[in-house]
Amino acid sequence: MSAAPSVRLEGVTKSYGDVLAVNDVTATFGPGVTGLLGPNGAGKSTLIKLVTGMLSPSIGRVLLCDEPPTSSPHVMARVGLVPEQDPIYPGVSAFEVTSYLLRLHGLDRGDAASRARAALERVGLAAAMDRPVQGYSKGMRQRAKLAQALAHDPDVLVLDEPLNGLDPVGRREIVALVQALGAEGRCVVVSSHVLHEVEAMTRRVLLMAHGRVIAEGTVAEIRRDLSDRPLTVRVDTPSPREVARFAVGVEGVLSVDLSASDRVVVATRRPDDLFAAMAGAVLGQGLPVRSFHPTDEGLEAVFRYLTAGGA
Amino acid sequence: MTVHARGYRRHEGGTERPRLRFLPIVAEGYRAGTRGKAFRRLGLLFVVIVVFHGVMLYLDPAALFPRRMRGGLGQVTSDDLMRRVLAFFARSLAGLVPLVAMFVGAGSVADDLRSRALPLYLVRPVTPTDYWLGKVLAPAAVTATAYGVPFVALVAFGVLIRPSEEILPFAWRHLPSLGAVVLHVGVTALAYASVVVTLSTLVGRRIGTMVAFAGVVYGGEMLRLFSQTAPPDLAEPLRALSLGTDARVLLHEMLDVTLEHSGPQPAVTSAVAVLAACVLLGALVVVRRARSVEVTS
Repeated sequence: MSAAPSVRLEGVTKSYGDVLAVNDVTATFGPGVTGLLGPNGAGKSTLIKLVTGMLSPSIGRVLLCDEPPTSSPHVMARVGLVPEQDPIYPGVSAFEVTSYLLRLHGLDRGDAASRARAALERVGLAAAMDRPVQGYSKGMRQRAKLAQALAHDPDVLVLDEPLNGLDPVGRREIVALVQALGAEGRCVVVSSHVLHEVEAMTRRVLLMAHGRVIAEGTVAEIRRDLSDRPLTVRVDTPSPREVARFAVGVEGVLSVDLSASDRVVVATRRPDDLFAAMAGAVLGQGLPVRSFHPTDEGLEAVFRYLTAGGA
Repeated sequence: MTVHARGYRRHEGGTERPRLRFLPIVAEGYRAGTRGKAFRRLGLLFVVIVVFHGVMLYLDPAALFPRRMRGGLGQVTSDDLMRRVLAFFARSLAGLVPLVAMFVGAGSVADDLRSRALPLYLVRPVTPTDYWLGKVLAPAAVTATAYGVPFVALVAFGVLIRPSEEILPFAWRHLPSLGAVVLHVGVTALAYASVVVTLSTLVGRRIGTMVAFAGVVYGGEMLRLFSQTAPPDLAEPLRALSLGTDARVLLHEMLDVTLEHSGPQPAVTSAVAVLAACVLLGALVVVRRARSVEVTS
């Protein structure tokens, strides 16, 4: 029986000469969608090469479905990769490429053709699959790449910037597809430096910077772990001064920004206390508050905090 | 409804044995290599040359021999004539055969590198060795087809022009010649394919590969001719630098034929060493390049 879809990195270091591209990374990608985030040069591309068996770690080991990909080529049948670049052969259609790549998995011509057609239909390229890829729009190429990665029905999918170049409708469709693939129990790793793209697909992320994993978990978990950093809360109100007077009396509040006429922004180390006190005051004392919500619980803010190096 | 139910079914069928995963690469390369205009034009040229040799074999066998030997042609047996025609044919095609390998193989790895398609191979159960085998055997197969089919046709023609009662004994006697031809064609095709694929990997551009390949093949031939005037220590290495001559030396050895006006010839061992080195060097370069595949993000 085959192992559950997973990718495990155990103390993995990859160096190129004196440069440490990936430095002592231990992480597990299990079933579901996980975002791999980091700025350029963070080590994401090297991590992808390691995960997909294109590189061997200098130190440590990588296990793909419990097997090392570099010494067990057969395990690569369980992996699908959407590379960031667009591999284009002049004059070759998406159907021909997908069907050819399926044959590399050992499928016969007929089986490869039917599965290639199914995959291309699934990503919305049914009408264009027989046209040369060089005439495709960026979004269509993205779909074609997704089709070749999905066509052999892999257990582990690695997607490198999968939403690049897609229009809003296309993005929504691909996001839904990625979520569905994760919901089926596949291990889906989505690498991106566009944070809201990843947020649209998953709340579970692995953040990298300078070759190291700097945070891992759901966005909310990571945010909670940042107890030494204040959370900012925006309170929409017709009476900013009154709300500000109330807020400074709540324990944990560090500062109140009164620069706008219709809201205040409160920085606090204890957001739960602030939310409870605010709700009580609105209900009990009629504090004039229209709405309040954290402004920096999103990935962008978390990422900014973590990569700022303590700033 | 899940995506699985709508479009995807897990593959339950059999798969080929992992060590044969290079075959689809060969098949695709062969298909791409034989559908181009260049292949058809070269094929036509090969047909013309084989017809020329066939006619010569039938009408004027004396033309295959140097003038000084023609007086004694009564002593030449049909077997000698057949072997001589084959050796002569190999020499006639010497300039054209590398062109087939060049047109088919120049883009094999270079196109993958330029289009950044290498990761798409290697993220599948295809090892760098499979990749090399697939990429080198495709142009080798096309070259062997273009070179070997006319060769075999010429053997068949030589057999069929015998009187009917001699056809079978003659064919039987020439089975070793046919074996020598097949081996020669295979070695020639593999050597040229290895060199062109190696250059395709190193140069990374189709046109650049063609130029480099022409330099290696025709430059090697020039150096072989130059070896006549080279110092003795350098002469043998220079003689062995012409891949086509190296392969023909093997053919001549197997057919036990010596052609006049062939210029300096390398020793069989030098020829084998150079041909083997081309294949091994090609394997090393392509596999190494495949192992250092780049995926950027």
